[in-house]
Amino acid sequence: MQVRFSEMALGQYYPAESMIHRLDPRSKLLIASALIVGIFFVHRLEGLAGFAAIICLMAVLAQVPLGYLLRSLRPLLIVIILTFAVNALFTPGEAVASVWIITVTREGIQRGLFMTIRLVLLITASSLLTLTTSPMALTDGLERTLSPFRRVGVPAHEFAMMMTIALRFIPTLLEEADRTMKAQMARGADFESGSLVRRAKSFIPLLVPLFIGAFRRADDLAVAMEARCYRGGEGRTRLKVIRMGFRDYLASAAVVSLVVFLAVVF
Amino acid sequence: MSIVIEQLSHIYGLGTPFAAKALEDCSLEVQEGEFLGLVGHTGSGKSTLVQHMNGLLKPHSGRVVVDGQDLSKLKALRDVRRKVGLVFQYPEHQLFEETVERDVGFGPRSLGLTDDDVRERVRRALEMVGLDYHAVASRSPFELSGGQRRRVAIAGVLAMEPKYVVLDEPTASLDPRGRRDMLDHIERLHREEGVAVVLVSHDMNEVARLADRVIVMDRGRIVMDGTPADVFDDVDRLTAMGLDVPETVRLMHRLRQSGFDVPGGVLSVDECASLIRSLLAPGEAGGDAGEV
Repeated sequence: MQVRFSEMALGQYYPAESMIHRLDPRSKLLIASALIVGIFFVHRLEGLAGFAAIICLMAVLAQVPLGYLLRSLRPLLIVIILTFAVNALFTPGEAVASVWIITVTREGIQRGLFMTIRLVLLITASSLLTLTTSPMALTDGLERTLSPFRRVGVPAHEFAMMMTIALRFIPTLLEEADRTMKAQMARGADFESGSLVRRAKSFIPLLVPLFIGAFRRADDLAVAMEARCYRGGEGRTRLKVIRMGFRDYLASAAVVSLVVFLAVVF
Repeated sequence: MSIVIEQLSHIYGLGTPFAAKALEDCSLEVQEGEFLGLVGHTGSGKSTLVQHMNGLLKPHSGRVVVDGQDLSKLKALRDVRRKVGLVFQYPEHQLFEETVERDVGFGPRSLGLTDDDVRERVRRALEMVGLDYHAVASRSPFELSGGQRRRVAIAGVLAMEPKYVVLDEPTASLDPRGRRDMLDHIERLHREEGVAVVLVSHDMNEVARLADRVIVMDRGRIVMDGTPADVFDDVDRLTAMGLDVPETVRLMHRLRQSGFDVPGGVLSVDECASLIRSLLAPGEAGGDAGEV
């Protein structure tokens, strides 16, 4: 199989014009964290069903296809399966099937199912945030959320700037990795066969140019930023000021109260 | 034997909202020993097309056949990649070894040749790009000048002794002299070693001077395919696609527009000069449109 860096979904923003997309990133951050905390507080399947309903409703409102949302589970599929298996096998209780020393219990299956659903909901809830919020808006929201803590020494602006730069360079680096890999393959490099040691070694022709390129870019960027008088966040104004509107407060309040309700009842 | 491309289509990011058609229904054949110029606007699909020639990309439809072997039916593409050498844009960015010798020898070493054979290939490859083996072999590629580094990278591909060499804008961001040297070496490679060359370029003067055949791409399609004289004669069509024409062709076109009787297909500067001389000579060629 051929590795295609350029086709890897990272940041995975799904562009659309929906009411969820238009929400202030801070309210979306709040909603996502409320959902995640809430999901941990619930101890019954009915509660999880409630959360599933909220997430599905939000996905529909965000015009994100369900298949696209479920695709975010793929990288964690092994973890999900393992969670189910461990719970099903190692929970003591009434045995429903047993082979040799392996016994599956009824309680185990129930518990495994519960844990799996919880995990799936946690992942989809956070994916929904990154699917509907562009990375730029997300870091902007983070910076604004963190800025009150500047007084106690949290470098909110620097933190956000670092994140912005890192995010901005991920596609560039992936593209460069893709191109370098192809260039080395064109002159006989083999990234796919051989022993583990050989395969690890075969990545040197990819990593060295990639590092050199990254340093070169960092250097260029630093010069370009200084040439435009960048000197940190002090007194900096922004082109797009994000503002919490009525809609944002309403959406946050609605979801948070629903979450509290579900957490208390179940 | 040749590289045959049949009804090739390629789509980037299939199945995502960013899907983009890069190639549509492209067919062409690269003959052994020929010099092919590939021109087109940025984003017209040139780079995508050349990456199909050695199987780095897989077609979504259509097929690529190199010397009778259908690439989609091959398990290992190594032989094909050895036969079709592909030099990417800014190839100097893929250098990674401690010495020039080791970097150029990377490809040959992967073929399992003996040390002596590898050294011989490195020496020949460096010579082909105009670098002296003894002067550069033991130096680090990173302490060379930009132009030299590019040549080392190209030598890395030539050391595989390919039958076809595809160069994606090999003269980009070189100074005029580096550009001229690079083209001279490419021309020599074609003439003396008999290697088939596919030259992707923005510079129509380069293409007009060197290529036997020119292919023009526009928005993922091959729109023109013919001798430089035929292709560059269609000045209006090329201009409409946002492309340049060689200086000589432009001059001839202007002369024709101002009423001179100029034949088509004049490409070289010498031909151009002798034509103008005959126009200026009294009594010859009916040109009374005054200002030249």
